[in-house]
Amino acid sequence: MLSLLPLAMEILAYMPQAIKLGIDLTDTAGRAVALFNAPAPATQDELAALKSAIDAEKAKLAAMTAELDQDPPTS
Amino acid sequence: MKSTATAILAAISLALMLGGCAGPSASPTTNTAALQQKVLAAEVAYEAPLALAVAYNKRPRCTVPPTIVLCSEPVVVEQLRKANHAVMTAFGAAMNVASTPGVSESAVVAAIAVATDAIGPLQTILSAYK
Repeated sequence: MLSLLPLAMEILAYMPQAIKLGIDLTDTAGRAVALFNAPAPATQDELAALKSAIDAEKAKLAAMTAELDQDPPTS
Repeated sequence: MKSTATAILAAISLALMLGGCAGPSASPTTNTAALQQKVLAAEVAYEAPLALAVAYNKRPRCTVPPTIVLCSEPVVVEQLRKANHAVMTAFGAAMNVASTPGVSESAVVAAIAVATDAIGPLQTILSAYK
């Protein structure tokens, strides 16, 4: 059985560092928890929305990976 | 007990086998949507450590002798990049497992566990810097 606790703990663990860096993780935490608690999509519209969300998240993580893989400009 | 271990091993094998497949995600069906949604939730949660890694990478690189207080160590950046690629591969594999019609929840749980275990080194690296 999948549990929400590790997911929530994972995000909470980064809060102190995130606050120091000025990064707001509340939106991330809210979206993860909402997805975890949401009922399984059943209608065609809901399935299409999930497909869009999966593709959007894939693109977002790919963009963040590209940022991580890029060296900062040297001054 | 043996069947659980077999299911986990099968899931890990499947995840590793499919890990390299980076094509478009399979369209959710009423049979797979619930488990795909759980993998998606784990991916969203992963944005938290990844955002911190990106912020660390954006700092100017540390030099010898030190000239900047808040800098990023090139070795740490390389470790973060390697760890992130391992996590991304594992999440891709987990989504592929979840997209497989008829797959058991335990197989998906095992595939997500492979991904979250891969986050471990990244957490260690991130917690080492201020």
